[in-house]
Amino acid sequence: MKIVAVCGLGVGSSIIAKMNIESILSDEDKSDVTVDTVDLGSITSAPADIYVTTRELADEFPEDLKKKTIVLTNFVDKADIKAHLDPKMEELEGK
Amino acid sequence: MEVIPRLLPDQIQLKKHAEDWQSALRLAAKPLLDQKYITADYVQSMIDSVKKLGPYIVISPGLALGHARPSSAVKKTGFSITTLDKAVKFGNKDNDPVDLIVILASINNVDHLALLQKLVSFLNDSKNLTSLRQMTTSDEATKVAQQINGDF
Repeated sequence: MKIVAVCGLGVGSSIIAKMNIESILSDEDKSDVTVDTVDLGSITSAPADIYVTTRELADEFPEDLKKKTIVLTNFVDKADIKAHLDPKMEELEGK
Repeated sequence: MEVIPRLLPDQIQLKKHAEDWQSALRLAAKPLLDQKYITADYVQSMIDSVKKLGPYIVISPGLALGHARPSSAVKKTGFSITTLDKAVKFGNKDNDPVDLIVILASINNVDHLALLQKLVSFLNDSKNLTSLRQMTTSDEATKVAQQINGDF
């Protein structure tokens, strides 16, 4: 499974999201999930199973990617990220 | 050998005052500007990117991460942290108002990552955020810098 964190420039908030998601995945022993970052302009060239972004940027996403997208309001609170991420991963895993 | 950039005590400013989000970002970037980590162009790029992309840089309640892309406007990789005496609105629906601003400057896409990882570990603990917001003295700023750098 591949997760891509999207931010405006691909160097700040998305990196923080990636670090926190990787930490969550490590806690969950999910070694088969990779996390990348990308800026909003490059999103169509970054195929993924799940996209993670903020509310402002999610509005700019191509329509067909929106259903794969998790909107986070807090990129720092791991418990909050986990609460959004786990159900989406379970849905994809067909649980 | 990779040299991990360090957060310096004088890159932490406590209880500063700003009237609006633009002056808050300028204020927060001032240590890096004064210490020649960045040029004035970098500060303008940060502001321009918020104007263009919206206030998405407010990444958690009250916390803005000001940054632009790595460019020739960055001379040295580093961060600064500023708390405000009075929170300002960035226009972010979920996380306004902002009273804590982190400025991030990196000469490339890699050099800031080790220090950013340390900063993220610090920010992950809400107790750290609460105490940082209450701090007023330079001694406290020095302790926060040491804590983030992992000196103890």
